[in-house]
Amino acid sequence: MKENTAHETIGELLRAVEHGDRAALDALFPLVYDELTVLARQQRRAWHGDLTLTTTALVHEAYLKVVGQRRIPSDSRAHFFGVAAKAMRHILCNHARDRRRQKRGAGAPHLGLGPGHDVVAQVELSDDQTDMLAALDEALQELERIAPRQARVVECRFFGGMSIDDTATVLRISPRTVKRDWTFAQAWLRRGMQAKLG
Amino acid sequence: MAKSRVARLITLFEQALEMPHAQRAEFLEQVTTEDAALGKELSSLLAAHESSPDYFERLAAAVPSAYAAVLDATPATARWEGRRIGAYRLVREVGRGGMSRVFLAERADGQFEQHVALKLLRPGFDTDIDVGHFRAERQILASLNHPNIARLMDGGLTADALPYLVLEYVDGSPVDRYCQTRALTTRQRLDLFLTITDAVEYAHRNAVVHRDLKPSNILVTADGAVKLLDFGLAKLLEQDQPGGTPATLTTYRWMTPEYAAPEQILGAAITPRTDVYQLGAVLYTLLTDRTPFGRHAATLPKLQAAVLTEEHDPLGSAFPADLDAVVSKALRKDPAERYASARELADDIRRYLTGHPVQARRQTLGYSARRFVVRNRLRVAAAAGTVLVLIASLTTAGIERARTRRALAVITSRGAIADSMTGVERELLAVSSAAERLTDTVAARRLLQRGLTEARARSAQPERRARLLDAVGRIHMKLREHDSAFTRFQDALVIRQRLAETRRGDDGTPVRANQRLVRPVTGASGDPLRLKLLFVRPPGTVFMVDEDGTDERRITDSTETMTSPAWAPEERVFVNRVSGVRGIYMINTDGTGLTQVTAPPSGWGDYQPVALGNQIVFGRDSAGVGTIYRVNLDGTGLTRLTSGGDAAPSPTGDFIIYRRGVDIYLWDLRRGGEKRLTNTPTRYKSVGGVSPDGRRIVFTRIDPGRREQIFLMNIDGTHTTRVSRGDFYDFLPRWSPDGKRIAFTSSRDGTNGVYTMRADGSDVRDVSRTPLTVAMRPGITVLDVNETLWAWMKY
Repeated sequence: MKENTAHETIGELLRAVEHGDRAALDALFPLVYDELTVLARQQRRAWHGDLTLTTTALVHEAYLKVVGQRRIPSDSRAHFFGVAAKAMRHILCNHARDRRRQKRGAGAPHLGLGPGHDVVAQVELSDDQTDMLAALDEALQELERIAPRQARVVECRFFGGMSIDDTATVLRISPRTVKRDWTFAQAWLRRGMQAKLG
Repeated sequence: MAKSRVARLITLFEQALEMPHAQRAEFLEQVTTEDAALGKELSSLLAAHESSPDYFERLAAAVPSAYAAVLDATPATARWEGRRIGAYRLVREVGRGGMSRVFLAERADGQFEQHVALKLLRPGFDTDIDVGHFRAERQILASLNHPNIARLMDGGLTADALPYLVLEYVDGSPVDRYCQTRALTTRQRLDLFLTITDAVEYAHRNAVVHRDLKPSNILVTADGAVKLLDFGLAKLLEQDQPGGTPATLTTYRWMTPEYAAPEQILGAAITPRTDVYQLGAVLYTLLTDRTPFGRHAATLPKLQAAVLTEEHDPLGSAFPADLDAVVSKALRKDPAERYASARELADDIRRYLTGHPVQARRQTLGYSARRFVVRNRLRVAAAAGTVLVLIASLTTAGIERARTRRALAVITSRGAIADSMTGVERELLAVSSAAERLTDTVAARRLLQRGLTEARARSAQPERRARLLDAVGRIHMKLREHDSAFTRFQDALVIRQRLAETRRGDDGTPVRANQRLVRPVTGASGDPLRLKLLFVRPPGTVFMVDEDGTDERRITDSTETMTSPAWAPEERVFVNRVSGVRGIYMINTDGTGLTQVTAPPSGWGDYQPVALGNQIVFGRDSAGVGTIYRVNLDGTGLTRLTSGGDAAPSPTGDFIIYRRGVDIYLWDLRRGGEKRLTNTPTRYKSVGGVSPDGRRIVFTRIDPGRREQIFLMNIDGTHTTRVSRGDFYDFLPRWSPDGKRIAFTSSRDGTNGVYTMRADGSDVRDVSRTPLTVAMRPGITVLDVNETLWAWMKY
């Protein structure tokens, strides 16, 4: 019952997004974000703790689950993947930022207090990964300001695990442009990250 | 950098890449001559491009593992953060109480920078929030407009129909701590207190009673401003319960008992004089840095009994009698004897401060006599076995008296119990729902003890015993004592198993679970040793096959979903059952004798059982946080070992190798304690097993930009070598009994199959007669699935 309602909402949102409703995109984001997190968690458990999830499979699964069997225009589908890529970026980068904040704080404990005030074993993102993601996010934010399209390409390719062609569909640009943008963005980010990571 | 300049830079960059390498230097020089700054930019970008052209491709390959690490580290609840509710976006959780979670939030529309506290209310264990009631109360609260009361700004319902309130965000410390850290004088503390009483008086004039005044609800900001939080929140959540339970009790359960008035403990009517009592208790704390009944606070029942029948602890000789009289008058048991209002209390304090006689002392005549009567009235009630017995002996905050009495009767009577057993469970659960705070935990623990004692006394009634153990386990869960909970669930499960086995013996003789018929090991009778592999074929059927791929036999029912098969003692097989009643099971290789061993609590999953002598080591996982346990084959003796997953025991059984996060550790089973074997945090690993000679570990590792590959290292973590050849996706490596070969699963030819190889990676042989194809759902083009699990055995 509740799930159906969610589907309806997401369908409507996708339609609104298609009509250029920016607020609908904002509203869609947390839903996709939640769905991805829940889904990844289920996958992790179903595969008995082994690491087998891939970004692409995850996003596709989320798509199937959220959109279900309903027929929706392929444009909406592209929007979904665009939103999902953004969600993946937030999930990873927010976590990296929080981890860094905790680490820089006094005495980073290995066992931490969860929000429920129970002790949780924190299986951690490594410092290297954390620093890398944080540096990437910062550099990407700069890129977003000066070259938004190139930044979107990075989101789709890097965080959404999308192919050149899928990225082209999502962003409504030619595959050739995706390739060019991707090359430039890589050099830009690499330079920015080198400056940050040393 | 301006956008037009960026566009120009991009164009130049792309032009440079298109021309032959030799011409680039010249091109760069040209650009630099025209525009030195732009030339510098271009030069650095080209350098970055050339330094590692495929840097991001390799980085992107590490995203899934980074994502997995994030999931492992993020509690499931964290997903609220970043979410939008109404016009606000949640920034982070800043507090959590029995009935709410508080987030720091900001305007999502970015119209203006403003931080607010967003309080997400959650219904109680057995109550739903009445939306109409909530809205009406919210309107009243929103009308409160006082500089010392945190303002209610907004509120509504989330998409999941959870009510939320948006309140002024106050960055301050609780008033008692504020007084202590600043070492305020009594005079200063009284002045602060008068500000508080004025705010309460204002609310009373607007017909709002706070009901939960305590230092933690009274904040003082760095610049000394006092703010009262949560005005009327208790009332907002109050519900009339079916069955005549006083509404006031439903919220009392969430409150801090140190500051609760007697009428709140008894579930009687709440009036402004209830706030007067709580103000008295706050004043007491501010003056003495103690709580009024701190002496009795060892257990909740004692504390509650003291609040109802005892005098509060004296203020101490440092305080004048007048002040003592004021506090005492505010703390009277009988509301009628307290100050009639916060204003009266404040007035008396002002009299004290200006040297006038306080009102409180005029009433001493006759007070002692009355007090005597009140105390005895309550004691008489206690003797009669009504309210007080319950409160003093059992109840936790806010359990409805009638239901508690019933629960008490059921739990303590040893005689015939009617069909109210589920009633007992409900009572125990109700108690557990009140046990979310530390102060409630004391009473809940007492109840746990009683439940356990009762369960032990029920050895002749196994079914009831199991049900009691279940209920006790669930309370442990509520107390977040997961280990204890598991032990109880496990005990209950074992009892039920025995019961089921006993019933199964149709010739009348009970069959005990641990006397199951097992086939003798064929190797012992002189047959040639044959290697048998276990594997799973999607969607979850366990098969057994000979090393050379012949003699394939199905073990588990194809309607079931099983994962993680492993060889168990006495030629049986461990499987992790995902369909039906989940848990780790044992089964004979001919598919008979399926027996449950572990029962993960709801929301948890068990996985990867491996034999360790006559025990099982396995992982239990919830929300990505894994724990390794050890348990006997009959399901008893559940013991937590450490946190992590992928456990593999040593051949001698004195240590296990396991993974936590992305690194591999060793846990000493004899002495306890762990040792970290790897320290390459960017490389995700998974433990395969310890070699039969106990000297080497086989594991898999995902290096940036590569697929999962098989590696070996020495047991002390040194000498890591790659075994996998080529660039296939190789995983789940297992040792052969002689330690010469490694069996593994691999995604060669686009499908997953079972292979073996020498320990140096040479001589790869295909075991699976037919490729083990993966069931694909339509629409999914990429899937890495390692459903193919298997192990070795001597057969």
